[in-house]
Amino acid sequence: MTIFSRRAAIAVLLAPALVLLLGVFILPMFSMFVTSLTSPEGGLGLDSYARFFTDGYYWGVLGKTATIGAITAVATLVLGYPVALFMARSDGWVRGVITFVVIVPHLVSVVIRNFGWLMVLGDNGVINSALMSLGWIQRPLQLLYNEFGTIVGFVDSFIAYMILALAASLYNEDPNLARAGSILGAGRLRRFLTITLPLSLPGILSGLVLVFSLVISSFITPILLGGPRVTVMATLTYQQILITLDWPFGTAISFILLATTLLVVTVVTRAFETKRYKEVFGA
Amino acid sequence: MTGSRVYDVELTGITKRYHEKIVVEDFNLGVQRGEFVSLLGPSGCGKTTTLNMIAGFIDPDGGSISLKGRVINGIPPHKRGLGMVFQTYSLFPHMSVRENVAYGLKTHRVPKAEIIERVDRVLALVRLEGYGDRIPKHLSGGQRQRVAIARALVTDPQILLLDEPLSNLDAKLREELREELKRLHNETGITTVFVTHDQEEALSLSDRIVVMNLGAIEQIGTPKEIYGSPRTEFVHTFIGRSNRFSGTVTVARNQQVHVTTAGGLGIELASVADVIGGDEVNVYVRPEAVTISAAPLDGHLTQIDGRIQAMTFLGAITEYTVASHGEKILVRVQNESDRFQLDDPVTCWWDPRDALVVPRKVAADGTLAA
Amino acid sequence: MTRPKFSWLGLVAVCVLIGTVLPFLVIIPSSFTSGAYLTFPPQGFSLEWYARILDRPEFVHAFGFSLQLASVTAVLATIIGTLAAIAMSKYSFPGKAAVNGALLSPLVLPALILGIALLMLFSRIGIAGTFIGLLLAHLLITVPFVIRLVLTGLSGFDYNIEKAASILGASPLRVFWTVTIPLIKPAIFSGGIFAFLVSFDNVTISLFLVSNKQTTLPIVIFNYIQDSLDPMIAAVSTIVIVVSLVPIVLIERFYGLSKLFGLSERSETP
Repeated sequence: MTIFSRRAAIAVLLAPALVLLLGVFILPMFSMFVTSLTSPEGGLGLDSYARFFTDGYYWGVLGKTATIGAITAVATLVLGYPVALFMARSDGWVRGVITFVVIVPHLVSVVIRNFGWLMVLGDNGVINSALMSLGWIQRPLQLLYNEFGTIVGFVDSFIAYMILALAASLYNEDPNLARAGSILGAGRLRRFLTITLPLSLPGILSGLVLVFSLVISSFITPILLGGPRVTVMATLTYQQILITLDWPFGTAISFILLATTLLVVTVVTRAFETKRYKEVFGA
Repeated sequence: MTGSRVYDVELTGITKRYHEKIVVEDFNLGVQRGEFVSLLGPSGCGKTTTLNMIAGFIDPDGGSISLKGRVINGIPPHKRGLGMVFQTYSLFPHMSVRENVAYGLKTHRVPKAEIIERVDRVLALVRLEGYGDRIPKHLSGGQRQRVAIARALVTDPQILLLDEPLSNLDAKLREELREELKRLHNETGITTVFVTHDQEEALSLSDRIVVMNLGAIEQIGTPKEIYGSPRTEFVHTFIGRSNRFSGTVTVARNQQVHVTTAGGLGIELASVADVIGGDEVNVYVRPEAVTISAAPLDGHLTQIDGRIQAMTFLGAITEYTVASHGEKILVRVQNESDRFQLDDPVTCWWDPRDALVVPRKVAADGTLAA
Repeated sequence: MTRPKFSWLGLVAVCVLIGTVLPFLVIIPSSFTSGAYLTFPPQGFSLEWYARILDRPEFVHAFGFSLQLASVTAVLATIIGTLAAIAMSKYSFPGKAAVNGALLSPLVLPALILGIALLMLFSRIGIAGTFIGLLLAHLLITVPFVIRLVLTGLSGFDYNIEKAASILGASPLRVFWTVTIPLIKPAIFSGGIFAFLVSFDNVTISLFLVSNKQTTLPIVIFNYIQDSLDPMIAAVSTIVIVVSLVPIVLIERFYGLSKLFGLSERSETP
């Protein structure tokens, strides 16, 4: 075990992974960034970025993307919190089963899950046929090929991330805190609002940030459930790259998307991280 | 190899640094055949690093390591033919006791029939007959460590290395396994290097103890020498307990040398060799070296009058704290001698030859370091 | 905590969970319909639509291609990821934190961007739309999972065990095969299975890298359901669900799904 063989061992063990990372990740990312800076005439320039920011249409797409991302993130929080709390409050096989049910759908391809929602939300889908046969509606509700359908698909796709982020945070809570609260006269709701909820803030923050960033870069669900009427940043990019074949513009949009993600993540994190938050949860 | 004697393990001028921080410096040690040598010191003293250098897990930056006269620097651990027992047991969790013990024999391509026989023999030696098919998870801590010892011994290694093998066990088991180690060493006569931070273990098991501090050897000696005649300040304070008196050397007209503490306590010194008048020194005396009596004695002994300030009954002995001139003197006496009560006036005395005098270092700004 | 009796919390949770499995509750039964149209609830029972798949060579071919791609990806990702994880766990070296971050970074970046970057690189060097291109892309997104899983499996690994084997005369290679690998086998195995799953189900990156001839099953389904919905595609989807479920159950059996997602409260020492 000389120094030499130690170094050699590290090098041999890491080499395949690093070569892969360098060749199939760092190199293409760099060259993609360079492409986004290519102007139509061939030289370097910010033309593609300028084209995006000078056209109100694209601003609208950006705004709609962020809105859908925010609505989805909040929806997963509202729907996911009870599930995570239930997981944290149960144990043994109950918790195991719930964890399994949360994770499994998430591991099946998004295409399949979206296909299921096509069947649920379509004009002849489960919901519309049920409502019509009950006589509550005369004509099918438009649940598909719009923002609503897109958001439903997104919530289904990403709620697992939210639940797991919340659960990780809720599992850490000392059960004696609730007991201490109740000795001090706090009722159930008060205990939740004053103890459990504030202590799960890190989970809420990381869940929101994670879901938001996943949503705004997804294009499969908007294509399948939103249809041509729903254009978001990711579908715009997809069209530019694979259909219009305008690579400089497509790559520029995708970098604007990335920058938006970072910006929103930073702003939301800042907003959450009050002085007290940092003192309590900081490293 | 200077002397005519060939040591089983010989370390010459071993030095190890990590990022310029010296971990072991100029370490010299020869371990004789059949000897049980302990490396004793606080954590971070370099004892484990030294053991790992013997094992081959760490390469020294300088110096040479020999096994039976053969320099083994650079030889990987699996070619050194050693046995080692780790603090964390480190049994292979996916193998039965028998498979664990047989592992070293398999790597040495011992024939199957012989493996069975030798494993049985060594399991009997550590009193684990009938446990061969258990897996480590289903053994107690003491049993696991006995398996680890069996695994180390089965290959008949040239040297047995023990890396704090008892520190993960609770007090009672630790004592039990300590006796077991002693018995195994007596029965096998294997040359053993033992690393520990526990002075009791080192004192009770070793032929010789190497006391280490800050990467260097403080003292090498038999347990009796280490305890009875500590040669450095560190050994005095690390092993057992010691009374420390800080004071200034004064030489009287009759050539008598005293140390006078700030509180005015006078301590007579045996020799004047290393100190001159005005030196700042620390004087160390073991509590066992101090005797107390109700009345002063005759003769040239250090005698201190004081009062019993505290006493603790410790079974066979009693520990007294005697207050005198602002100093507290710790005294340990056998219980068959006189008993004293709190506040009794007493005289403490000791043979000046039992005291260690160490000059205090003077820092650059002129202040004294403790 | 006692068995939950009735709780509003539980009721709400169960409703949400039913929502998340709703797509499967709809797809699987309707694939067995004997009717001509995709309806829920299905009419009658038949395996007719499964038989019809065989008349569509593009589905059969894509299924085989996906299986092949996922298998090769799983094997290679397991090897590459395990080696890297061992290096990360066992040794400390300058820049280790940076290397760790870099190795996991392909998971942080949106698949959309990765897909575009790879499309541009691969079309430049001529491997866009080929098996090897897809393989490289899938390796990039599966190796980090294997690394993460094996690293979890190695956390708390007592490297003294390797030392013990080595001092007993085992060469480094022998230590690796007889001690290290057996002890982290569950983690390695789960890593490989998970890599298979990720590769088999991937759409977002594959979409940029497939060609008409070399295409994966999820992509064929993606293209198909944009035009028409019929019981045949429900049958195909059911097959995909089953193929995905097998690895999931295997991981749950051998490793525990929750560990996969960092939810383990008590990590078992190997």
